[in-house]
Amino acid sequence: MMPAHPTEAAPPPELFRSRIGPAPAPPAAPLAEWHALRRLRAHRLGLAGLVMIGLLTIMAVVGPSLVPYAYDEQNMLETNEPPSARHWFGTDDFGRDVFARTWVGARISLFVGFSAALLDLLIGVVYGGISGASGGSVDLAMMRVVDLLYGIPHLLSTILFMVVLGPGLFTIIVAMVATGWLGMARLVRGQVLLLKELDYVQAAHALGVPLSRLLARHLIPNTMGPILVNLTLTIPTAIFTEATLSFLGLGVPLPLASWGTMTAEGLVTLLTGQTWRLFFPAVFISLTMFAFNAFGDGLRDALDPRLRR
Amino acid sequence: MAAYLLRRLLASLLTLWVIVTLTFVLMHAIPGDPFLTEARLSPQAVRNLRTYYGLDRPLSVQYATYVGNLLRGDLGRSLRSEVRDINRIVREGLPVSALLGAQALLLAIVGGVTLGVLAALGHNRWPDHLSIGVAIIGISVPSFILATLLIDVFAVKLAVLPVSLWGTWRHTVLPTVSLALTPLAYVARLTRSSMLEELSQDYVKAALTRGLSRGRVIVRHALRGALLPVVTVLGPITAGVLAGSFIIENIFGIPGIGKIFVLSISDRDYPLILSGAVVYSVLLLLANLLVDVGYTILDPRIRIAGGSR
Repeated sequence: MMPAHPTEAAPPPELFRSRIGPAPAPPAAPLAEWHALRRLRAHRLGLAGLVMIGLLTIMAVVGPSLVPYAYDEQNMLETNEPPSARHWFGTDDFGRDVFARTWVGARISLFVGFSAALLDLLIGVVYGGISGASGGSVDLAMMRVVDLLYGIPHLLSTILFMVVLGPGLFTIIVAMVATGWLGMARLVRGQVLLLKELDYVQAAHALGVPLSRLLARHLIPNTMGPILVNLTLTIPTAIFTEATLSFLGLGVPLPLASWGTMTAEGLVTLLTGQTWRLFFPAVFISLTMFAFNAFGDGLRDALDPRLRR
Repeated sequence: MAAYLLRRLLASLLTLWVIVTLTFVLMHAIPGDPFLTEARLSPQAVRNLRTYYGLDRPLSVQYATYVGNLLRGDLGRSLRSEVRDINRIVREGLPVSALLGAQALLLAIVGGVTLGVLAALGHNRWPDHLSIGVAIIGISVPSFILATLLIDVFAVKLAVLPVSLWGTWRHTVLPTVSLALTPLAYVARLTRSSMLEELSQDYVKAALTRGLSRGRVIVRHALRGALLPVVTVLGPITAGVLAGSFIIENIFGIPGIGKIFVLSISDRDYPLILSGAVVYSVLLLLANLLVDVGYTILDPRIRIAGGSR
């Protein structure tokens, strides 16, 4: 026997969380959640983005093992071969299989994108949450620090950190997160300030709920909407930054195949004619950027219909 | 308003100081010695070089000297570049980068606003679809890939524009377009949505009912309101163009400071890296300050409130 109102028993924070957070089990979903989902479904571009992200992720996982060549396996008898049944995307000047390399590149791009975004989120939520919830002089001091660092150009600081830390996949992520969390911290703080004024939060505070609990149970879950959007849009920025650094030779070391290094290596093919070496990484990085941006936009529109246009 | 601007100026200077200090610390945190890699130098020569560049003195003294020199406008001496005087390197490279950057910014703003307004006026008709298409391409395709594509089509296949290097206006066309497309896409998207919003406002309808011509209402009133959000993103857009110039100048072999900066990184030319960071930060902070001034002039609400940021 189901109770007449399945959501009635749920405490308010649950209801708020599910409104803007990821989808819970459908039967328990409150009305608002369905609106957001339906709006996302109506957003064709955003949905296309989501599907593409799914496909790219699957290919990043299984892609390299679909062909019998390792991404760094050289074969001097089959250099610069055009796409064929043996090498679906052709081979490069070392006879390496471009198909395998493209999907290893996808792994790197997605890994960098997701980890940078998640680390930004982690630091930003903790820092912004504490700053916003504390208020007063603590908030002021913490935000002054953010303001100061925020003026530093992102790519510049990333490059400088790469110089110090040396090339490598993890150093790229560290270098990006070094200043990447600032935007997230600002966003979270703003959201917390906004929510702090709400009656139920004031009530909880008056009832003596400790700050840490207030943050964990009420403030942070309820700020998830804009944060989720920001997270989705951070991923393509991180992917783009990695590709740019690798293109400039400051990113992942060889022989790792990043879309950035593949494009840089493929530049000469404009003159020599093996353009498939350039075509595949270029197309897939553009598709990835498109997918995340489209999904992020769709998510924003779905979560905040006022911005819909 | 003067007090507000003064506060912003001080904040910018403080940020600049943080950048200079952080960069200095980072550069000196790198393990190793820039001269130890040169195997042919005798120990005496290395000692002499270290004395010449002041590297034998304590860090605090080096820092004080460096900041003192900066305050006098002396960027110091490069370790490796053919021209040792960094002031001269910047003097020669900056006009090139500035011209390219200014052209790209102009194209991005003028092109983006035009496209955005056309899209808003032709909402859901072909101008709208065109602008959305341009926005999608601009946001998805990284500038280095667009540059490669443009070189392939216009320089290699059609052979109407030079492949690379710098000199006549014809050399500036492809780099400018590659640098401008992404910011242009953002401006177009922003203009479109804020223009749509303005056009739906009551005052526009009121003006139209009172018999004012449609063109006059659009240009004199709606556009002015719609441009405000565009002004706010000019700062980030300038940052984007500056960062983009690192890559574009490298692809096209343009002798600007972006190319020199990237070269200094692979050369481990620390004084030049430091200077690059300083020059870029100054440019960016200056741009942000100008944007703030422009915004206070454009928006009377801020002028009265004395600035909320």
